Amino acid sequence: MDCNLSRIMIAIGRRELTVADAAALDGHIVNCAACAVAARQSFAFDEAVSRVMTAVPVPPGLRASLMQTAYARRGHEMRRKIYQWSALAAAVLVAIGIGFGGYWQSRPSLDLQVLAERTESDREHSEQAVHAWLATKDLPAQLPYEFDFRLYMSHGKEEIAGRDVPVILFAHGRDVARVYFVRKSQFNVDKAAYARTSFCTVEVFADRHPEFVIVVSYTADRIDPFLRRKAVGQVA
Amino acid sequence: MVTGVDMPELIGSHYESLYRYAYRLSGNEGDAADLTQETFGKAITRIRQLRDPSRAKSWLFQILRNVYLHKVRDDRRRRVVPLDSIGDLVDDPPEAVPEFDSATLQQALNELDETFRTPLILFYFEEFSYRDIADQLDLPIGTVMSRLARAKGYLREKLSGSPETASTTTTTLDVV
Repeated sequence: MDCNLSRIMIAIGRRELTVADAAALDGHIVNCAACAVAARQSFAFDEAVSRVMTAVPVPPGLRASLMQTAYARRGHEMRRKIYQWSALAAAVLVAIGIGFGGYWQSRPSLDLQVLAERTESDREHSEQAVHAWLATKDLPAQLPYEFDFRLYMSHGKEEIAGRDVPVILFAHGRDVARVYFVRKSQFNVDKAAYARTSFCTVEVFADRHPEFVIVVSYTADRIDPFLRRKAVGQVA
Repeated sequence: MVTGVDMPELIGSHYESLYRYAYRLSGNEGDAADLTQETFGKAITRIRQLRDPSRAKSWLFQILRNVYLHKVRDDRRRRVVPLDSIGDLVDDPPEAVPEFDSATLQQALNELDETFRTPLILFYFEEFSYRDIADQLDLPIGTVMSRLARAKGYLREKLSGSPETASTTTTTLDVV
């Protein structure tokens, strides 16, 4: 390798080089003081700019605002699709009714019990999936509250202070609730306690598991809207 | 919704880097927040376009850039830094890495035409390769490399306080 090619590779940047090219460049700069200086300065400059480029403070309420807008937008989209499908279904039904009067007379009876069991199955399916995920990740099997899994949205992980924290997300209208599983070995949770802001409440359950602190945050005034109702007027 | 893509997780995973990109593109917090909001708003309606969840970040960055380009008028997108005066390779780089802060960097970026500013910003977000940048901007990879080289040369001279870039003229920018 000559200095011309070396300077081109330096300008391109180390992370764009193949392993072989990077090794060839390293081999050249070991024997070429000028290119060694150029490489050091160029890579150091790139690192400095990259560090400063991403050092932009993110507004504290941005995430909550984005989630709120996203849910509102998604609700709008779902309603729009429901309206579209309802209109289509109505048109189809009318066409069938007009075209097949006899068939219309032999419509099956709508079994509400079947619909209820299907909805119950959907809820159990997501609840089963979450519990299977908890088991797979060696997370506490029991949640602090008996959440209504009809309100289940997703589960996964969030990055907090550079660490991945498992989380389950529930939504009730415009309110959201999150259940975090914070590993005691990753965070200093000694002073973690109840917290409340204008729009959010955070509860900490430090005694449910020897390795984890379970943190529940929600934007409603109380946790009740997110919980399964055992009977009319009672919550879990 | 596309299997494997969850909007809350998408937001949680990418909102910070998306906001930072928006800030570096627009130069102020208000526009950055608006751009981020609008990006996720569009993403919700277009979620079916995202066929590969592993490409979510690139996809979101593309949406944001398009939103930015639509929102900003042409005369604000075009800057007046004469990059034609800087070649593709800096023959004599400064002896030491200059010291600069976020505001100084942003001022330098604000003076760059968007055609050079965007690839520069994407390059320094580290996760994006030349190929990623070329795909996002729908440009040949050679064009990306050329613009990046010139933009980096400008940035280095600007942050070092070089007199060549201390003042701007109304020379029309030569976009390669």
